[in-house]
Amino acid sequence: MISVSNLSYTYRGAGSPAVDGISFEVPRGEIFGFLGPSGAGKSTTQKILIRLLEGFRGEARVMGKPLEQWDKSYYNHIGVGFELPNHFGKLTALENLRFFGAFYTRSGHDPLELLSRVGLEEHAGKRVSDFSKGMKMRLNFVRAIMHGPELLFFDEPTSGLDPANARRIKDLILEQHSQGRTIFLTTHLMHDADELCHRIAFIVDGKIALIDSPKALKLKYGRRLVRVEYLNGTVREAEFPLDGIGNNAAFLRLLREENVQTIHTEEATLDDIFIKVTGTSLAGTANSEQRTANSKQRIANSE
Amino acid sequence: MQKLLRLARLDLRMILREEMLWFMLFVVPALQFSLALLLLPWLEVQFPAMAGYHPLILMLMTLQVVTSIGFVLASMLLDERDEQVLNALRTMPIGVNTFLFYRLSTGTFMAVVFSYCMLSAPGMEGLGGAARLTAAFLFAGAVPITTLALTALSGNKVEGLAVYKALSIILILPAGSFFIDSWAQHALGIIPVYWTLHYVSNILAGKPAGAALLLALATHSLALWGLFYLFKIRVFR
Repeated sequence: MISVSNLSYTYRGAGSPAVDGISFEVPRGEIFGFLGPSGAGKSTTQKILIRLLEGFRGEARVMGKPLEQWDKSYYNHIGVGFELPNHFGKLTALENLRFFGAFYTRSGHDPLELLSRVGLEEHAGKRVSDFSKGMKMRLNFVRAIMHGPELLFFDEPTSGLDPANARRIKDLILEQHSQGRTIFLTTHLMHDADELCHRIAFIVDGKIALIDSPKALKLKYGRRLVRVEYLNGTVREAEFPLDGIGNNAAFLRLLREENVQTIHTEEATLDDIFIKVTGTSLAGTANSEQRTANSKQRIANSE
Repeated sequence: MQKLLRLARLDLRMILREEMLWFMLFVVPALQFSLALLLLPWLEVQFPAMAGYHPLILMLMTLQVVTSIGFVLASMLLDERDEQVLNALRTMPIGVNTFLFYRLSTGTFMAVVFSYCMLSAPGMEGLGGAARLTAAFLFAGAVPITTLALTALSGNKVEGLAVYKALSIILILPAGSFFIDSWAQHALGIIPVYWTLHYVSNILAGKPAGAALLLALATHSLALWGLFYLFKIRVFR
């Protein structure tokens, strides 16, 4: 569906390229996550793929055709959910959807039905200028999918949403995938990527550091340990190898004799893997970094 | 055609939902018509010296009408730029250039109608139908100039109002050429409106007006090209 080869882009007046020779493929029907911190080159790549930026080097093909050869009909095949809301503030939600929907040649979904799917049915007749950011983001999402495109681009689709509405949007993304659509998801939220994406690419300083499925990455970078928190005066922790855990005498003794609070396997999170691979952290990963540092301090109990 | 009608209906809704916009689009032209038909003849009776400048005053009033249309369009575009709607339109099959073309051509068409009516006021009979229509088109050329200049040079609507005031002054500067009896008056010819005013004035005076018409077309085209270039840089980069 998307094929990118040695893609580079430098903004006018910038000393270094925002995207520096990246290559990747996204097969039809896949949810592909593009992950990285702010300024890593995620949005620039997406802007190139949705034809908002010209003058790139390398090759980018979408649906088998080089981007440069597409005309305006390209936008009948793709849907774009921007990072920031962009609607006519003086028009209502429904007026906005009907206006934008009128420009597509393919018949789409009923705007009112889609508004109800994202919890905006009661606000359909309300001016968008009176919407909160979260409501505007949901409207962004609806606009991207309403004409039923084969390929969807989402830039931070859950940004500004409360957990319940973020859940709705993620469910809708999964539903779009189940209907055979290809989704290119740009985010810095590792949890979203972990939950939604079949494969992810880590991008830092305009370069792709790694591409793989979240599951494979977690297996590769995870630690096969079990961590137990127990109460013995104060909260204490102990770690045990996952292999042979059923015969680990220390582990079994701890279960029998101590007041166990929590038991967890020590799978790597995407945050941890990102830090490990790129040597840098994503915004909002301070806790994760702390966790990683703490875990290094712990003495594995490998009896 | 259906798309155009849908756009026009949407635009009208947006205009009617903002007081300043409907005031500038409907009330200002109506006031100017009333002034041209009622107040101006009365003033000329009270101050006979004004009568000699009747066509010039009418032309400046016409200019006021068309720039107010340009202001309305620019205000809408400034809102749309702030709301990032123009970026959204870039990822739609219509494209932002088509949208911009629609906006500017609709405003220009309205301005042609309004200008034609203003130039049909008593005292402008010497123009004739074809020349009046040509002059109406030339005056209407101030609409895209005002719209693009305001959108490209303003950061927001408040700044837009300040730029509008400055631009209004610049656009009436060529009127000064009617009070300067020197070759230096042609320096004002860098402002496209100068040639529009002289085109109409020459026709009313029975002088050849072809050169003024050509220069009006050339300066308008040049200004539009430059402002569109600036607009694209300021809005999309």
